[in-house]
Amino acid sequence: MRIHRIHIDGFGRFADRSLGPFDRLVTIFHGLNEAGKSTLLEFIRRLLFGFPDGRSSQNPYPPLAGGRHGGQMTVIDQAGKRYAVRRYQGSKGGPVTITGGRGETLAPTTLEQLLGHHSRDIFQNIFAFTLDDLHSEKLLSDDRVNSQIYSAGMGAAKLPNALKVLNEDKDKLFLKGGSKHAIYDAASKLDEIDSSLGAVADHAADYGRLTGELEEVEMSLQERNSKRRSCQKQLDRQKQLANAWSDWNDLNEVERQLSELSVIDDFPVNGVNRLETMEERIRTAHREWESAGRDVTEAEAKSAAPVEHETILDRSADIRKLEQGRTSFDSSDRDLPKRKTELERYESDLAVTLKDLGADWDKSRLENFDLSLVVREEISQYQERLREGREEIDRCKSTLNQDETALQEAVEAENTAQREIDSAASPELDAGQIKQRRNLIRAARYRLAEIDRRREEISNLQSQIDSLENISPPRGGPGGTRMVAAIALVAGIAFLTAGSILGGSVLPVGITAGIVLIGIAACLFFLGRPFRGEQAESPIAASLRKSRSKAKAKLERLQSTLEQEAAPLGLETIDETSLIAAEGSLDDQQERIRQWDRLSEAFGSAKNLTEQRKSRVERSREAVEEAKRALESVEAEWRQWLADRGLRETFLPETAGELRGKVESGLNQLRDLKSQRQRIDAIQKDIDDYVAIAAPLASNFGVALNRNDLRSVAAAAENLVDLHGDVQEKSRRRTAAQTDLEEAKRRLQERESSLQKTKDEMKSLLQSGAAADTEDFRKRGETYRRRVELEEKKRDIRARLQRLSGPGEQFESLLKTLRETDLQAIEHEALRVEEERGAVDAQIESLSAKRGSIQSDLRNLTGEEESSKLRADRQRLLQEMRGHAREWAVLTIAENLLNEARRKFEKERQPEVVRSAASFFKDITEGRYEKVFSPLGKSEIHVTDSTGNAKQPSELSRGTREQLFLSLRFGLVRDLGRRAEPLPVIVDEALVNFDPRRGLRAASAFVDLAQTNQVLVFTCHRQIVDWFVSAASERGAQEPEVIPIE
Amino acid sequence: MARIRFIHAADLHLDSPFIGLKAAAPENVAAALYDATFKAYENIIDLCISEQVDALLVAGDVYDGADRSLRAQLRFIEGLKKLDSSGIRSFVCHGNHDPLDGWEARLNYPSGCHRFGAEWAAAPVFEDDPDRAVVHGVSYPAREVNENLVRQCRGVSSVPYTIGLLHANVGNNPDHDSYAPCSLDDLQRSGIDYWALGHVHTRQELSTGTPTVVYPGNSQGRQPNESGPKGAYLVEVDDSGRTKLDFRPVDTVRWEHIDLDVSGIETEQNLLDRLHERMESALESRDGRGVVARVTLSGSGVLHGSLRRSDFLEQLTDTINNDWAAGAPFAWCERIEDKTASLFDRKARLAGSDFLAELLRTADHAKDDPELMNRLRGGLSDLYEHRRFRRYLPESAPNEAELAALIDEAEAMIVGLLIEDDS
Repeated sequence: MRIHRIHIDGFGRFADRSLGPFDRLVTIFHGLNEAGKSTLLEFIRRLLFGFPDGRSSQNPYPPLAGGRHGGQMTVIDQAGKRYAVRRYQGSKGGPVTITGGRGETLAPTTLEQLLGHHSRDIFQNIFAFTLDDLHSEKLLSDDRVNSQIYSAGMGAAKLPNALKVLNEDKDKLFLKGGSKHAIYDAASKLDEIDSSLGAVADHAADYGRLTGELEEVEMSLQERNSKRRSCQKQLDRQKQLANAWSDWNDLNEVERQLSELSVIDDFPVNGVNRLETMEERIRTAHREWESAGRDVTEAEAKSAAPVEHETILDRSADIRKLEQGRTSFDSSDRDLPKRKTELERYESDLAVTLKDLGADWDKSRLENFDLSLVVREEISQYQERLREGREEIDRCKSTLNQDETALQEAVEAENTAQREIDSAASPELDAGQIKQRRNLIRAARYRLAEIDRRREEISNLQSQIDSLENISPPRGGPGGTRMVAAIALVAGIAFLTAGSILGGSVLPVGITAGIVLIGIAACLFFLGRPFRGEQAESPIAASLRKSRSKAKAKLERLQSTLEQEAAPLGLETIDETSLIAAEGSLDDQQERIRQWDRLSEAFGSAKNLTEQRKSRVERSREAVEEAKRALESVEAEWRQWLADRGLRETFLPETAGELRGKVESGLNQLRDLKSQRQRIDAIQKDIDDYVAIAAPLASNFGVALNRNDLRSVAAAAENLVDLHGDVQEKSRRRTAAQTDLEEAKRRLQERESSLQKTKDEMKSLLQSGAAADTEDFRKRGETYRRRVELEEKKRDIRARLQRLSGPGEQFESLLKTLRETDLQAIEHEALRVEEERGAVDAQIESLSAKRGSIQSDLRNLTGEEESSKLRADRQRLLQEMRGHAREWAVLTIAENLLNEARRKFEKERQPEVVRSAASFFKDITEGRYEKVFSPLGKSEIHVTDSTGNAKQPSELSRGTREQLFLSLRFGLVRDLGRRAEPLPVIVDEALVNFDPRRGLRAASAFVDLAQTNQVLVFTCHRQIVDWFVSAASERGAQEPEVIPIE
Repeated sequence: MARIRFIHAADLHLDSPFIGLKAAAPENVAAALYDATFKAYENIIDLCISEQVDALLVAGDVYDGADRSLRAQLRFIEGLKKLDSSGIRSFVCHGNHDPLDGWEARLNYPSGCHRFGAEWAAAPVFEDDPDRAVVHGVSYPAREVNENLVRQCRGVSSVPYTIGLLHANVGNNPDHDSYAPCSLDDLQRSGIDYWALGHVHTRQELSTGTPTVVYPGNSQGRQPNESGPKGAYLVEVDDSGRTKLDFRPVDTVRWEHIDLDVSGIETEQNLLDRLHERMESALESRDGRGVVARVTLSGSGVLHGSLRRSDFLEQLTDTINNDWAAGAPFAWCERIEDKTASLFDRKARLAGSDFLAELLRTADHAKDDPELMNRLRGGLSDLYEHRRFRRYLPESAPNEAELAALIDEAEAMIVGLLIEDDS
């Protein structure tokens, strides 16, 4: 592949830069340092193999001069086909586009083919290298890097690291003789599991043995249990006999006692108790009969007793009245004196009231006086109407007074205004005249300002004319004219600047002068006319004078106009001072007009106000009169009202109201007086009635009573009431005693009957017991009770024995056994059987424990799950271990494969490379070094000099060492070129450390190489260029093309 | 002819562990795996009862005698007793994993169970009607039986329906040990109507005519290559002697192979998403069974580099299992295998002249050059013949065929190391 053209769109300092075509075998790019040679080399590398990504530490060569980062290269393959390779910065090295000679797009793999499938490493280290790449001093000081360089030459820069990684990974899995690797760990765990499983395997044998043992134990237990049941049965029999023995003895005793008692077949049920109960009942009935007799005697005595003053019971109604009226009587006795005293006070108060009302007032008139609500309302109405009438008069009078005062004030104000207006002077000018004169003043000011500007202009023009007249004329030639033009130009600019800075009135003048001066300067400059100086007036001066004349004429016109326009103002001189004075006079006139207007307005207002207030005073006077007439009408009505009621006409409504109150009070007193008299009469009647009842009763029943002493009457009444109560109580008791007598007699009869009935029952009972008397009855009863008791005891004993033995024959068998044995024999037999049972129990307990133990063991064995888990774990570990083993096998084979390929590569390929390199190296060093070689299996290069001494690269001088590595690259380039597309060889300052002789020889070697591989040389050294040119010449080869780089 | 219905099962391998698991399963999964063979057997017993069949036939390898699992035998007999109490008879023969001379606990089989001995024997299916159907069977006296047992079967009953119960390798199946070898022709000539076979773990209906020859396969898959439904046959013989086969899955845990081509997958997250989809799909289609999944990643793509990173696959497996293994039913990813290739253009590289090209040529050359192959395998004996470790690795030492695959893997490994940053 050859590089034909290069176009850099943007890369480092290059932008839109095209190079080529490169038609020669050797092309030399010559330029100064930093001209961009290394940049160009890097551009070629990256265009072919891609841009480094953003994380790379390599110089990114950003497009500093613009353009898109990247570019294009045209290349030609061995067959002469052209390809365009285009690449720009982007992800994954940047997208690359390959197009063919007809512009067709080709697959990216085309580029790989063009590059002979060489990697970036190979290209950079062998085909396109810089002095830095060649500089091996540093590299050779580090064996690992040295080896890497060597390996890179073989296309496996990562070989050492790959071997290291493989080895480390391998050792982690398995290391012969080691114990810290995964397979060892897995095997250890498997050992443990196998050991555990071995223990578990015995479980099956245990299960069989235990099952057999369990069967034997079960049989023995069955036998022992049978024996135990037999023992228990015997023991139960002996216990039964022992338990029955006591009852058996009791049964015999009961039967003996029964045989000793006489036989009584029948006897009344519970006879003795019934007999005793009857005897007790007879005794009780007798006692009750006696008590009833005593009650009859006592009742008869009580019912026959007499009662004193029994007749008072016939006056019970009067006695109740005395009793009920007693409280009222005592109250009347206390109230009567008080009421009489109050009556006297009421009469006295009424007399006083009548006296207050007047001599013509008595009780009758008092009672007939009209006190109705209507009267009271009428009085109130009159009182209110009279009050309102008087108030209305007062209000109208007050209004009249106020209006009169206001009228007085208005008259005074009118007079004052009249005086002020009389004393004030009238204005000389009206408002229109003042406005006109102010306009004239403004116009005059404008004219004055214009006159000032004209005067300034004239003054400036004059000064310019003066300055022109003072300048010496130049001594001929365009140089002098130019000098004047320059001065005019400076002056013009100065005027313009001054005008613009100062502004105001100076501005137009400055601008005018500036423009004129600049125009003059321009004329002078271009026409090149000299000034004539004193001999002839310059055109500038003439122009200035003309301007001045125009300005003066205009000034005069302005002054004339000013005088005409300002004539109405009547000023002697027209200047700013006189205009200010005229303005002041106009201000005074304007103020005077404003004052006159104000006074006239005040006088008119005062006059109007006086008229208004006079009218109001008249209206107020009429209102006062009207109010007085109204009051008089009401007073007449009032007097008529008083006359109608017989009252004095002089009474005011308030007096009439007071009279009415007095009359009302008198009437109340009269009512109270009458009421009091009625109450006293009633009290007296109550007292008389009470005495009328009490006095005869007291007399009849011997109770002391003084009619005139009300206290005595009260005491007698109380005694009569007490006497009546006593008699009443005694009478009630006697009646009750009579009732008790009847009841006592009835009970006596009942007791007698009951006593006899009980005696009859006892007689019947004795007969039923076949007893002659009660004593005999008791004896027979006791005998009968004893028999019954023994019979019952006998039945209980037999029942208990039957419960022990069971019914029927068993019971009879028990009785028979009991008859035939004794207690000692029974206890002896029981003891013997119990001992036998104890022995059997011990055997059962032992066997049961053994059975439990076996069953527990069997349960453990059958429920055991550990072995399942162990087997699963074992399988997993086996799998894991086999996985590790396989992985280790892959790593081992990988390591072997690497080493195998490496040996083969070194053996079959390297010697040719090295031989070829040796040839170049010998040639460059003019035979100083004859041989280059690499020991098999070692990534090292050795050289042998002409004396046969072997040296390592580190032992060579820097230049020689670079020549060695350059030779190695030549060897590799040639070797690789035989197998794949030959690539261009691109060197950047690779020969700078060579002496001229070796440099020339190295250049010759490049020229030779250029026959197969395009050679591109980058250098800043002219000498190197010369070496190549000379070498080509010596070899008779095509002359190199030298392309300058700037 | 009377109607007969029976269940044909084989290779229960009760209490035998799962094989091929590299990672320790989480607790819930491990418990399910320990119990899986038992559960499958219980499902067979339940199936017998629910279908009210006349008999259960078990064609050998009930358990692995070498394991000496008492639990396996007890649970087996427990199931048979359950059948006996339901009036269902059982017929059992023993195979290479549970031969008659192997270990056996002293256990009492129920009276309704007939176990065949080392000689051919016949037993009626119906005790009360012995002429209706007969089972002929034989057990392995020892683990290795190399004779053709079918040819030793003489005097086949003349009853209307005969069943042969045998553990044998028919047709020399290379995936299984060649015990009791016989041919299909031997079976067809025997005069038996239904051959209830055991030994081959893959379900096969070798003949559906007369005789009917069937391998039901094992009842619970226990290793990666035993994927798919596992169970037993419900066999129904109608009145005219026609045999109808109905396979019924009884397994509780199922192996699942998930193959995923990473060629179009750009990111790790995309890979994870795809794996989640596949796990979900695997679980959904298994009718509530637990799933043990082995994932194989293949193809070439940008993820190849990530997959080769240390611990990446372990972390990926953990991430998947965090989401799927703890559920009920579970889906446990047992491992993820990376069989992806880089985007490396081997052919183009082979044409180069650099060291890598030499290495590729050497790898290719080794497959045809025994001497070179021996050099490459040099050192492997350090491990595979190691005094301590060899007993655990007897079957895993790579043979010639495997070495080629190992060389390919080794080459891929080296390529990754040498050019991993060049792309």
